[in-house]
Amino acid sequence: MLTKHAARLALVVLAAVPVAVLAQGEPCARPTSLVASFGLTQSDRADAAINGSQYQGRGPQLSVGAAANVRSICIEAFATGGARYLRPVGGGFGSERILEGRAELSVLKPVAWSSDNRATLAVGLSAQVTATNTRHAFGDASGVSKYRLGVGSLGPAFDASYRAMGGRLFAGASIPLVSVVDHPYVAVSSLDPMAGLRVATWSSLRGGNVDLGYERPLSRLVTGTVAYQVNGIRYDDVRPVRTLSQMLTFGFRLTRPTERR
Amino acid sequence: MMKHRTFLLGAAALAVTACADPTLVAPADKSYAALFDQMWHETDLTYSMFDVKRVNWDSVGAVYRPRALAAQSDFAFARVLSDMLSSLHDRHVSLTPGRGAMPLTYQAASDYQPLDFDSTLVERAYLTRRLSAATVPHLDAGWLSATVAYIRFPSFVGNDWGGELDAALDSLRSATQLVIDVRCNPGGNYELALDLAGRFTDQSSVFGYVRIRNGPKHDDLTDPIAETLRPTGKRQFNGTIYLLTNRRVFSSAENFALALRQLPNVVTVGDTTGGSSGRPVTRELANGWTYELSTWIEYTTDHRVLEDAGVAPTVVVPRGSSGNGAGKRDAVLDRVLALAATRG
Repeated sequence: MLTKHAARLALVVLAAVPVAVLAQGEPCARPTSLVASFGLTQSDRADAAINGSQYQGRGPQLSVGAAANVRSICIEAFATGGARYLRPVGGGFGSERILEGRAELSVLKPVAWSSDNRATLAVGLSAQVTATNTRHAFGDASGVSKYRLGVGSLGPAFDASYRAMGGRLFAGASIPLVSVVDHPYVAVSSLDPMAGLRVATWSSLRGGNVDLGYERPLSRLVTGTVAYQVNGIRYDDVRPVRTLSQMLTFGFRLTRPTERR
Repeated sequence: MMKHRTFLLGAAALAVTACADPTLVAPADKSYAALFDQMWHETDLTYSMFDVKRVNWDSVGAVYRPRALAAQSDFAFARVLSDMLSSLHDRHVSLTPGRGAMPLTYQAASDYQPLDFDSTLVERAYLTRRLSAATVPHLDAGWLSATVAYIRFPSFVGNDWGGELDAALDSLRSATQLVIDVRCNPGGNYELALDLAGRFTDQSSVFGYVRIRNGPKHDDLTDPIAETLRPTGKRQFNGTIYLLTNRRVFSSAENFALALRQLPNVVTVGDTTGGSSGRPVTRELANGWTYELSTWIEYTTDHRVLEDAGVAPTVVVPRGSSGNGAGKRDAVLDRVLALAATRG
C-alpha cells in the first residue's frame, strides 16, 4: 500500500520535471541547513507479543534534522521522538505508554531537475532506525509488562520538490528492503536483553516512510516548514506487529545566506 | 501577509490529511470459542515447560475445547480455562477472570498440608531486641542469642527495598552468625531477591542457568543463560549463614535459596523448597481476562531442572517435628541454634 503510494508520488513528480535537466547550480532540493520542528503524532499499534489488539494515541513530537550538499550528493539526516499514551480501539483492554524514536540518514543523488531548479528529483539509499518501548498496563489492573520493538533497515529512497506558492513543496519516501528486528518473543527480560534479534527481508517486513512538506522563506535566514509524515511497519512473524505513525510538525530551517534557493 | 496566509493554508491542508484513523487489525472475536482458541494458542506459543511437565498440549486442547464451548456462563467458562491451565501442574500458571477477581491457580497436594512454620512463635519464643518495623517494614529482624542474629524475609514483593537490609545488617553488625529465614516466602521480584542475596557475598558467582522460550516450537529455547549473584549493598555479611527453607518457598525465594546455598559460608536447614521456577509473563485475552504463563526453565549449576524438584537443604529437619500446643517449638530453629552453639 505504502509502496504503491510512493511510486505514484514519484511518477507525478517525474512528470513535472522538464526534459532539459542539465545542471545549473546545485541540484539538491534542500540547502545545507539545520531544521527543528515540533508537532503532534498519532500512533496506532497492534503487537501480538502484547495481545494483538490495536492501541491508539496522540502526543507531542520533537524533530531535528540537517541537510548537506556534498559534491552534488544530498545528505539528509533526521531524528524524531515522542512519548504517547495509547488507548485500545476496537474493544480491547488495558492501556499503553510508549516512548518512540526514529532516526534516518539518506544519501541521495539528484537524477532530474529543471533548468531553474523549479522541480528536482533525487534518488538514493536510506538507513533508518526505529525504536519503541512499550509499557503495557493490563485491563484488570494486575500489573504492567514491558515490550520493545527495534527496527534497523536499509532501502531505497527518493526526494522530490517543486517550487510553488512562494515556497517549495516536498515529497519523499523510503522503503526498508533489509531489516534487523529486535522484538523479544515475550515481555522484555533482564536476562536476555537482545534475545529477539532477527533479520527480516521485504517478505516479512514491509513498510515505509512517506514525507510531504511545504517550506517557505520567512526571512533571509529562516524558512518556515510544515510537514506531514506517515511511517508504517508490517512485520509478519510468530508475533506479528502492525504500526502506523502519522506526524504533523511545524518548524524552522536555518540556512546560510549563500545556500538560499 | 499574503505569504503567511498561503503558508497557513498549506498547513491546514496537511492537518486535515493527518486526521486519518486507520484500522490495523480486525476487532477481536470475544466468543467462547475464539477466547479458548486464543488462550490455547498463546499458551502453545509461550509456555516453556511442556517437555518438563510431560504434557501433550494438543490432547489437552482437544479435551477442553468442547467443554469451553458448552459453558453456560462466564464463571463456568473460567473454570474450564482454569482446569485446562491446571493440567500443566505449574504454580506460575494462573487465570484472573476479570478485574478484581481472585486468580485461579494450580494447587499441588503439598499446598494443602498444614503449615510447619509459625512466624509468631519465632517472634514470641526466640527473637529478642527486634528491630523496629518502622525501620525495616519488609523484614523481621532481631537476635536469637548474643552472637546469632536473625533476619526473615516474608516475601520478595516490591522494588528497591535493599536499603532496609543494609540498615538491618548495620544494626546487627556485631553478629558472628546469621540466620536467614525464607520459610513460607512465596517469592515476588526476581531482581529484588538477587539484589538482597548480594548482601551475603563479596564476589560474583554463577548459581544457575535459565533457558527462555524464544520460538513457536515447544523446544525453542535460548541457550543456557547464566544467573549470576553479584555483591550488592553497603556491607556484605561474611560470617556463617544458616538459610532456613521449607516446602512453601516458591519462585524468586527459591532463586534466593539457590543463589545462597552455593556460597561456602552458607548452611541450608529445613525442608526442600516448593520447586516452582517458571518466571511468568502476563497475557491478556480479548475479553480483558489475564493469565500467566511460565517462560523459562531454570537449572542448577549441575544442569538439573529446578521445577518440581526444588532446592534441597544440607541439614534436613523433617516436617512435623515441631510439636503442638503450649510446648510447641520451632524444630528448624532449635536445630540451627544447636549448630550455631557448636560453632561458637
